[in-house]
Amino acid sequence: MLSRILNIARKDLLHLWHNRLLLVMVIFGAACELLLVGLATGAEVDDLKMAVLDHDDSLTSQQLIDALDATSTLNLDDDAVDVFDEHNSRDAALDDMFTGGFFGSDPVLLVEIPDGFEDSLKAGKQPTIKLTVNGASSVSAREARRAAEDVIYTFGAVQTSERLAAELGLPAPTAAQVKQELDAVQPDITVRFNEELDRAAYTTPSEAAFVLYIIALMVAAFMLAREREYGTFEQLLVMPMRPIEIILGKAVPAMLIGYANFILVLILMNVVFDIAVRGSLLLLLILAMGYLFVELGRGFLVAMVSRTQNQALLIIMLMAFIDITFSGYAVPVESMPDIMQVLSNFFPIRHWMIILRGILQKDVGLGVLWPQLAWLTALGLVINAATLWFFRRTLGEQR
Amino acid sequence: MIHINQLERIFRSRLRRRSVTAVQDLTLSIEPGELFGLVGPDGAGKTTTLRMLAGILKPTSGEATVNGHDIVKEAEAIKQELGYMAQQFGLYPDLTVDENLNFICDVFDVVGDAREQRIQELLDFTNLHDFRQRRARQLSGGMQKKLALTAALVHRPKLLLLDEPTTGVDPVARREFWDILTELHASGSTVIVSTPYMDEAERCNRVGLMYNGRLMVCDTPGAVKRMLPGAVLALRADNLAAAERVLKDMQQVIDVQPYGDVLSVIVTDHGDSAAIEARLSEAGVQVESLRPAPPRLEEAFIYFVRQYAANNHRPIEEVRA
Repeated sequence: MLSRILNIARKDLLHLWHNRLLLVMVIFGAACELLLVGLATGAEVDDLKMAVLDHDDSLTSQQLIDALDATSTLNLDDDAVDVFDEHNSRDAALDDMFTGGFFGSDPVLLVEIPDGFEDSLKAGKQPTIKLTVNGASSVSAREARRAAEDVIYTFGAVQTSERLAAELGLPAPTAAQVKQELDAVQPDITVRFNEELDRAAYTTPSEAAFVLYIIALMVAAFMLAREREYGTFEQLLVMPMRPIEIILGKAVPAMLIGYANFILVLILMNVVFDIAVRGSLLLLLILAMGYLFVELGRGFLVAMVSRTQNQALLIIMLMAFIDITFSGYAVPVESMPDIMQVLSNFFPIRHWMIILRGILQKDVGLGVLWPQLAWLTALGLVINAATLWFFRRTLGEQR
Repeated sequence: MIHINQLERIFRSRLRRRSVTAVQDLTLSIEPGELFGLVGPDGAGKTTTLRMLAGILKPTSGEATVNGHDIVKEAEAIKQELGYMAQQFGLYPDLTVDENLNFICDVFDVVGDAREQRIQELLDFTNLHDFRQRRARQLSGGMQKKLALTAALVHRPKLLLLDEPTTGVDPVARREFWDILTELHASGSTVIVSTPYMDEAERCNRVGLMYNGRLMVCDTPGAVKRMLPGAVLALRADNLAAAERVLKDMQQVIDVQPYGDVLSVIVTDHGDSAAIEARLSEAGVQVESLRPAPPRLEEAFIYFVRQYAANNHRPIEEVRA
């Protein structure tokens, strides 16, 4: 039995060896992906392009613009006056500005300072500053808005304090003094698990989870689908081999590759992004093996319903979109509608993500992660039973 | 070696609620050492029959034993002693000749010196020595077939099942392939080969003519040809189409089959040629030659298919008896 399983495994590895490009992609693709995502998301969101339309053109309005420009988030690109001069209406100018008409690339934020801004501020009125945010890119839009609001709020407070001091005949407070007063109550923030709130520390463990997921699914599905596509499956059937031996033989290379990738990714995370496994590495590796079994089952199931590798690829791509949605990577599962929260439990990657984060970042053990382990076990049993049933049925159609 | 009794296989389509009877009422025995030809057009049920014998397709009803093993209950035992060559190339196109053979040897547990010796021997036999490091994909169609045959032989199977091994292969490679089969037959192997080609059927020691899922006739090629009633006349004439129309209506004529520029006329007796010539000239057909010819398997086959259809698909022997 074992020797037959290894025969199949050896042959499948030989296929990979002959397809060097695929081999390189399978082994290093995941590592490259991790580096790219980690480096790209590790950086703060800053230097966002800001356009300004200053109708007031006063000393005060200039101070406000300088204050906005001084933040690391916003960067004054240029005056938007030209764009507004070119167009008759404000709407037309805005359309033009936010659809590429503004110096080649769109600003994230447009700040409009009304005429008489300085005067009304001095008179104790509450002038409005119009902020137009480019929502097409939601992350930068949110950051730009937060930064601008912060600056405008503080600016208003400083101006008001100065005015009040002048009215009461007191010496004007400095901006620093005002800011200190505003911070009268100080929050003391402690962040646990990802102390620097580093974005790479969030994205890279997720990537590590995806690596195991996609490798297991793809290698398993392709290795079986190719036999069906080439018609070599029939040859396997006329040889003295049981279905379970064929399946297990095909599981071995997928596990080897998935595991090698996972370890490579863990090492990279540690070396490049300084994210170490805080919990038990052994537990993580054992649970990874369990998770691999679940996804391998799904991969084989995909291969059973597809006749060619291309068909399998299409199904996997579709599955991946759904899986990643329910993994909680892009949108926290907790903020999904109730029905989707319930559904998410039926996606193995959801539990795997919790297990990985738990062990990697929070140093928790099975005492905390047992529900996830239970779910994975149940899903694994159901999926693999279905796979075996499907396999037998496919054989039954031939038998 | 092989005993088949009332074997039947019906394919049911789950989606369209349609069923196709691929093989029915098949009863047949094959002795050890035979080179048996399963002959018939596409869709006759040859592949289905071979796959049932190989233990990879369950019959709908009926039973069969191979080497005394039941094809349903003891399929695994059959596979140990079986060499099977599918119609489609069943080896791995991205692996080299050696790698493919090594994999098959691994599976059948042919190891060590015995393996190298066996592979050498087979490659000598099939003339594939110079291509051992070549990927199977890069072999010609004929060489691929020979490689598949080599792979089917590594474990010295007691029974060899070959499903249309020469379809899509050039005539020279076909001949080479059949020389190998003849050698195997001479050395005592039991070989069952399916083929749509009558010239190949002639090289078998026994043939079974299949049509529409049934076995019409089963005997030696010579006996099958002798089962053709009457005699065969080869006709050359200026207007064969007109000749065929005219002859079909004649009482003495059993069957008319066109073969290129010759019309094979199956008549009740050789002596009918004078009457035929007279009838043709009456119809304005210029006869170039009309000679007695030895019956060929192809003529017998076509005749049987026509008879078979006319007799509501009852086996030929039954009708005659």
